[in-house]
Amino acid sequence: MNLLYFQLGGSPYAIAQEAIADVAPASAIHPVPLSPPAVLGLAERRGRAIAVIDLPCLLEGTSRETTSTSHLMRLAAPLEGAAFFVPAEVFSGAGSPASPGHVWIDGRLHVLLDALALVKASTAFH
Amino acid sequence: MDLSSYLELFVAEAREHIGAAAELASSVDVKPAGQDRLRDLFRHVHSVKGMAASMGFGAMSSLAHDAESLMDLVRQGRLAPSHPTRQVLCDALACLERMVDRAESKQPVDDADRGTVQEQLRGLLRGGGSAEAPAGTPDPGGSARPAGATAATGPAGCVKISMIVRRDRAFPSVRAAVVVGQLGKLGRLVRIDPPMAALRTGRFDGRLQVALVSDLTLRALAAKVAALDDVDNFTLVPTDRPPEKAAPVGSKASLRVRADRLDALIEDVLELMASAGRVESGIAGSLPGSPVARDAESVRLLARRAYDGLVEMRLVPFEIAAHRVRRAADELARKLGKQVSVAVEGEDVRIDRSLLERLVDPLLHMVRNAIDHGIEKPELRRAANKPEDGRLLVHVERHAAMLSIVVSDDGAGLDPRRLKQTAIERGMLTPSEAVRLDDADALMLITTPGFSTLEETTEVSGRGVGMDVVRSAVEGSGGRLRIESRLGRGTRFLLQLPPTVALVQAYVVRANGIAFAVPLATLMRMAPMDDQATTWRDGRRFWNLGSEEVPVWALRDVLDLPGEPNGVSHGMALIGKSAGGSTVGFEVDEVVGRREIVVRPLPLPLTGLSGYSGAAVLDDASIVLVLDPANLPLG
Amino acid sequence: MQKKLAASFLMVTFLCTAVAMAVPRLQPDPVWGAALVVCLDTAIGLCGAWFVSWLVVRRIKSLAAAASLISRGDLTQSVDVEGSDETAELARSFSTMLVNLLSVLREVESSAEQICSSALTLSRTTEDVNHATSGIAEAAAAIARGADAQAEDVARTSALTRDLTGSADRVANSATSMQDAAEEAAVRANTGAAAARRAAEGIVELKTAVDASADAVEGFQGRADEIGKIVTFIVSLAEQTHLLAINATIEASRAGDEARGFAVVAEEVRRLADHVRGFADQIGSVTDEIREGSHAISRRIRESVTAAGAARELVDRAAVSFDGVLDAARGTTDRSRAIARSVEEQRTLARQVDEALERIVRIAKENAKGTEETSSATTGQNASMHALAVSARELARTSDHMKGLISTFRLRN
Repeated sequence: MNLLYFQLGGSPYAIAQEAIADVAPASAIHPVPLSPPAVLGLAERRGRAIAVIDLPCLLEGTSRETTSTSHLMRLAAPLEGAAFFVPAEVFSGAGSPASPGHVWIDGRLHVLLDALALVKASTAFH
Repeated sequence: MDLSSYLELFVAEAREHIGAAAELASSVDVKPAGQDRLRDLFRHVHSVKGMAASMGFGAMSSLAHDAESLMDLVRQGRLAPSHPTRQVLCDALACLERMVDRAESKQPVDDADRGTVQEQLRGLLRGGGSAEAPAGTPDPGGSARPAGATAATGPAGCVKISMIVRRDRAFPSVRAAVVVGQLGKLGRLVRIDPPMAALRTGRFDGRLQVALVSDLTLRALAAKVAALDDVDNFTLVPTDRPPEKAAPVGSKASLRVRADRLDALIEDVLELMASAGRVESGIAGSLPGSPVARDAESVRLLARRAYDGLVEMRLVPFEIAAHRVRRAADELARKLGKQVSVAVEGEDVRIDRSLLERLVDPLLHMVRNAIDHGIEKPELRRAANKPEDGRLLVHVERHAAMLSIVVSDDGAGLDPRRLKQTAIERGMLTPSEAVRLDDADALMLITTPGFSTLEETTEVSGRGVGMDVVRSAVEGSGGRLRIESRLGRGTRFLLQLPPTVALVQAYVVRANGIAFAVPLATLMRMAPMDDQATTWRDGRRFWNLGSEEVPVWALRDVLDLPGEPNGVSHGMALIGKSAGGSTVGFEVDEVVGRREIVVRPLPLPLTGLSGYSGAAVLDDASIVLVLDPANLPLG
Repeated sequence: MQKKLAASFLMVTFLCTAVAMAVPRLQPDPVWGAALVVCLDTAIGLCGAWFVSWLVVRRIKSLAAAASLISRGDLTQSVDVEGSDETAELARSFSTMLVNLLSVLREVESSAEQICSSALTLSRTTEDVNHATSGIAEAAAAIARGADAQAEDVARTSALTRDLTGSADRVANSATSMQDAAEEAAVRANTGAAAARRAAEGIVELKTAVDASADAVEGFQGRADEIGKIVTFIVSLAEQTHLLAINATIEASRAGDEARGFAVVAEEVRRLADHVRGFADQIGSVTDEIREGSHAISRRIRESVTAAGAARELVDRAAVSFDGVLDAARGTTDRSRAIARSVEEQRTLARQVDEALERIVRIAKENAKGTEETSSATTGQNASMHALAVSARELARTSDHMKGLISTFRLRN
């Protein structure tokens, strides 16, 4: 299966390419008052506003670390309009399924992310 | 030949033709002299037949063929477009529609009812030559054609009228033109000799020849022509029908475009408009007044025109869905033996077509719900001192760029207690939770998945639409659903939908350095918050509007904004209406200016966040949140 | 300084005049009066001379302090500047000058010694004179004993005074040679100052040259910075290409089988982009090293510029010090001239003493006859001589004092 993979806080994660519309360098994020904590805010992409979800927050519980290489992974339909904030380098490659929720990429075990579940989780207010 | 790629096109075209035909069919006996309509109806059915045949759907094309033949008879006047005929035709069309649906979902195309319908059709066809309409059939509205007309006294069809227009009167060419106009009222003018252009220039030798297609009988026609004052002599000669004119090419021709291609184009033009705006402001900054600056402005205006034009194309009048709603209501009412008068208000409200597509099925479901469970049978209504005709109203309105659709009936209403009961029985609520639920929330219980007490599988073509699907469709479009009901009096479903894309006039304001946009339509007034205009009471600020005191909330407090105020001595208050209908004000630090912005609903994890009606991207690529003052959380 | 000398001279003159005017009144006898005047004047003069030389010694001390200040300037550093530039020469000439100064001072010291010994001699001589005068008195009393003895004594005294004269001469010579030395020092200081200025100019030239090379290094550094910028640009391009390739792969995977070829191409593009990125990183690190190196060079150049500037400052200060030395030397010259003058005066006075003593001899011889007169005169004379001896002893003591003062100079290690 075709995957995009990256490291967050030392842990390797991967997500199916078909869940992602595109990857772009992180741009300015405009915070939305009263929004759930896992939503960092809105970013501008091709003239529209997309919602940026704090992936490290959802996965590791840490708040975002600003690195020089940060990316926004815009999700594909039916989740278009949302994007994951990934403060890491992003790579593409092929992987094979391992245990449920994991895949092998280059002999390393990666956690396979479920975009829909993550988006749902980001709407929580605690 | 692999036709699967043409399936989409076929489905779309077939639906359009069937829809149009159905529309025509439902009204064909109401309006007089609908030769055009009959012809159009015929053509639609004919098209469906052709398409079905080329797609290899034999059953469909066979049915369509029979329907077409029926239409042909009706068109020729050999069969009266009476109620039974109309009924059979409608049935046939409905059957065809179902078959198209099955084709779309790649199921075997044949329909269970086809056989029955075709039988009926053929029955009518067989009796077509003598086409005896049952006596006493009420013909509401009165047809211009006498029932059971024979060929001799049937519609004249195409006749050639050669006339001599009196030349001894003044302005003969003008009079000839008048005659032509009067003849036009008698039918459809196919040919005018000399042509109208020549008549207008005054070139007229008195001899006028027209070919007219009329529903009138020859005798009637002759009488009418004779009655024309300016005509001296004339002859009436039936001729062959001239070949059908192809649809006129030109400004009225229509083009079929894939919706997603149009959407992609709109997105690109939106970006173009934003870039053009940036270019213009950039050039205006460094080279004001130069020719290049004027060109940049033109570019922006042209981009804007292109955008407006494209967005227009996305908007369709609600009317398109209205007729389906009406039809469904009529059918169901008839089936269930209930009397319902269906009214649709706001048919000309223009709605984004993709939104409308998403709403059609939920609307139909709500309408069917209303007729099925809401409106009582006539006897019950009479017993309850209600008029026998149930009233079903679909009211569509656009207010401040928000679309509101209300489906209301004057039926039995919903009982919150019963709903709670059902929820407890189905294990959806514990009794203690149910007690804490207020009536409004209890009514919303019907939108819980699996709640439907009665499954509708028959009417809805197996699509399984329930109120939960309605709610998710509405909320998925960024909208809100509310249900109001009074037991015994009726129920109202209120849908509030943000526009998919809307160009809105708004004020850009700042609080604590953060920019927001407030749509003009949500504001009543703007007022500076200087000390003379405000009073303090119980720690709350009030703005004096004449004798009224309007409570003013600071936006930075309402939204809990970080940072510091801009450092102005006093801010501006935006006065508008709260959700409860009272007047409230929101104080901001400054008003930056008025802008026309493209408001889009907030994207996915943030949909339904109350207080915002969406977000917009300004000319400089910065993002502003568009406030919904009526729904900001106060206190 | 001059004021004090003038004042002392005035004082001496005044005192002498006062004595000359007062004594005749006290001692009507012209001969004894004159002798008294002479003695007193001598005493006063000698006192004055002593006072003056004390002042000079004091000045010399301050001069030595100034000289040690100069030595603390650590001019050995400037010797390390490559090449045989004036600074080395300067240091050498300075040390020569210092040596000269030292030698001058040593000569002063010896002169002081001589003065001291002369003073002692004088003191002894005055004592002797005293004795002699007492002897004269005795002789007067024993005039009968023979004028030869007297004459002998007087001769001895006059020989002694001649010694004194000789000593005074020597002192004067020393003072003159000191003056000469000081003048020479002044000349050398001038040369030194000129050399220092030339050195300063040389350093300015050096600084200009160093600035030019610093600019060149900066220019080079600027180019290194440009390379750095281009590398950053390439890196960002590589990153963008990387992302583009990823997005292309996403699209390709969505497009299905037909796009497999495209996906492969996209993958290749991504690998290429990563290679470019790696290479750019390498270039970047090399450029960083170059930049670091050029920074270091630039820093060192700057440091040498600063050092040159410091050296320039030191040279400037040396020039100032030279001027100071010049002034001091001039002062020394003036002082040595003053010393010479006072010693001249001292000599003159000594001659006068000599002459006076000769007259005394004559007078004594003449007075061999008048015993009683002589006796009382000699008693007076005795007393005067005694007073003279006392004064001479005073002189000896004070010249000891002067020696002591000079000994506070470290003139040898």
